Amino acid sequence: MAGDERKLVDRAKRGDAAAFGLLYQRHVDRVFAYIDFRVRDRALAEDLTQDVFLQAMRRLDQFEWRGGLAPWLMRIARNTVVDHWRRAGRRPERTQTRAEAGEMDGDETSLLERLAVTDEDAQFGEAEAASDRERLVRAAAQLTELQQRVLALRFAAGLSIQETAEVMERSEGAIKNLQHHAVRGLRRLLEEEASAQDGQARTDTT
Amino acid sequence: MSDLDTSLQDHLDRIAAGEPAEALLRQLAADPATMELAAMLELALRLEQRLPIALPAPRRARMQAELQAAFQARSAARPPARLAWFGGSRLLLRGLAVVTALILAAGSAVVASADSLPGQLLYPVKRAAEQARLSLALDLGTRTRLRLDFSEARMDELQQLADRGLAISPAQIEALADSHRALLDSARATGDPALLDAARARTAAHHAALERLKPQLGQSAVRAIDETRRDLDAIEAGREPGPSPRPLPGTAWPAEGAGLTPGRGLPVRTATGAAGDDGPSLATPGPGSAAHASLTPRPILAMTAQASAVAASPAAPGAATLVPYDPEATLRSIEADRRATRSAMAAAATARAEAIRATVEAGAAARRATLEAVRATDPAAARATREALRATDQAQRATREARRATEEARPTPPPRDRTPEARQTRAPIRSTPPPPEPSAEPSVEPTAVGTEAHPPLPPPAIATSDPAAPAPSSTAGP
Repeated sequence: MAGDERKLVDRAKRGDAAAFGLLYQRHVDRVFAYIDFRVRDRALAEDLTQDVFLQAMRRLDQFEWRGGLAPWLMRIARNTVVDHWRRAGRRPERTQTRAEAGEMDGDETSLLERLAVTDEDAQFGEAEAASDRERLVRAAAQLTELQQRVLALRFAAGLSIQETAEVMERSEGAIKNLQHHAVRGLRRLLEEEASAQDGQARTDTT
Repeated sequence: MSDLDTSLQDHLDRIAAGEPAEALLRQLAADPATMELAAMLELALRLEQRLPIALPAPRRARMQAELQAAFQARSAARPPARLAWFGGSRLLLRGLAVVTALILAAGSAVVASADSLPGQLLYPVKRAAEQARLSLALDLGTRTRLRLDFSEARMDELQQLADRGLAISPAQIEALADSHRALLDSARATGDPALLDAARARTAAHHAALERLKPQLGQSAVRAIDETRRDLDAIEAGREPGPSPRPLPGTAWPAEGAGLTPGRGLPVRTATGAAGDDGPSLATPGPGSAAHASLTPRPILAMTAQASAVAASPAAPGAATLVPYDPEATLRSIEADRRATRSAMAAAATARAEAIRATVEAGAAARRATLEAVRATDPAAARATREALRATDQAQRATREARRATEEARPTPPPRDRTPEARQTRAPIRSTPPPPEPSAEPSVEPTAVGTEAHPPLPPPAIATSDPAAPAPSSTAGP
């Protein structure tokens, strides 16, 4: 599998469009799922996914094989998302305070700002219609930036602990730790949401 | 970091390794100490299941097409640095880019076709890919090694078909035989004894394998095995230079060996003779030694002519005594024989060249069809592939026809030691009107294929007067 992929990468580097097409097929879904998890907008995620592969095409010469293409692609995906937020963040309505910036990676602050807006919407009409996935993604958006990234890479993009460690430039132990806290945090958020809805339902009926 | 911090991943790993998740969850939930871990594990599994999503298929196909188009445009616009020495020749660069793109576009189909068997849709792609690899191999050694592989592939396909209980047609046997012929020709052309030995050993091994397959095969296939093998052995025997033609190693006939007829037959050799078969001294005199003698080169036409002159002499006065030797009549007869042979061989050569041209064209058509199939997986591409298949079939028929014509062109059936040249020697392609270049293809490609399919060769030499002259080598590297 890996050797196979390495051959495809070599062929693509030599200008083989078909090989690049096969690499696209192999990785497009993980890139798409990652970006969708981060931006929570399907149409936007589709566009940004294409941007990721265009970037990959331009930078393929610089790619050095270290066991797989996925970590490299996910790094491009992350930068693409950050760039998008930066562009979007310039818009007047998006510039808000960075109250929660303490735990954050810096670049991705505007995510939470965006989420603050959408969460308001979510509290009303959307909650019931939302699929389980949307509920999970929305709840995860309240986690810290690093925790979100770990969840996106591990579960949306399906990377291994080792690959996630490579993308995030941290040790595997640190990734396991982050993942543990992310899942525990998410569980609490979901519980809170459930009990809030419970309470809401109870007040509605009384 | 505590144990708890990594225990979630440890449990995920256990489930990934095949442990049933439900049992694990129940077990963890039963213990108050691990209750929270159970809940977390459950959530992690839910995330694993829910978060991955797929890009919608239509969107995905369109985006891939866009990307590949962009990729090709980029490759064409920015040729790699190593092409810089082509200098300012933009046309050449563009041509190269187009050819590269076409070849590369076929790549995915080629990958997919690697395991295909005769009769399957992608099989022509596999064969076309082999031809492409051959045409890209510049030196004879590499080609011979490729041909070793391809011959093995043919045998492997037969074996697989047989293993699956599928029918094996004579055409597939012939494909294997063709691969042997090409392999031996190619190996001989290298002048490398090791490669020639390898080629012969491979051929012999395949013959042995075919013998083992025979009980599973239909009559026509068995007949095809015997016929193609006889042909090959005859060619090999006739082609050998030197006074005592060396037999193909490992070509011992199974049971019919006893029924060898002089002229058709071959010296019997066992497979053990395959190694170190380098000198005429090793040619074992055996049951086939009579045949052996008949294979020794000699001025056949002169002798038959003289004999016929003798026979044709009317009952002369004093018929009881020997007919006086008439050099004039002999010479006339020789001349007539020679003319007849020459015209027959010319006709055969033309037919063969025609067949080769058809094969090349069919190959080009198959390639075009492949490209179509890669560009769009639609009914039209499937139709094109079928058409290419038909064209290939026609070409094969034409080749067989040409072979038969060559057989008929042979003036004197029994002595195969000289006449096989007529069939071995491929006619130079230029002796026929140049094939119309497929217009859709860049001109570079068909030429490359053509070079492989029929290297420029000297016209067949008709050796009649000089028995010492070695048989002309039938292959020459470009």
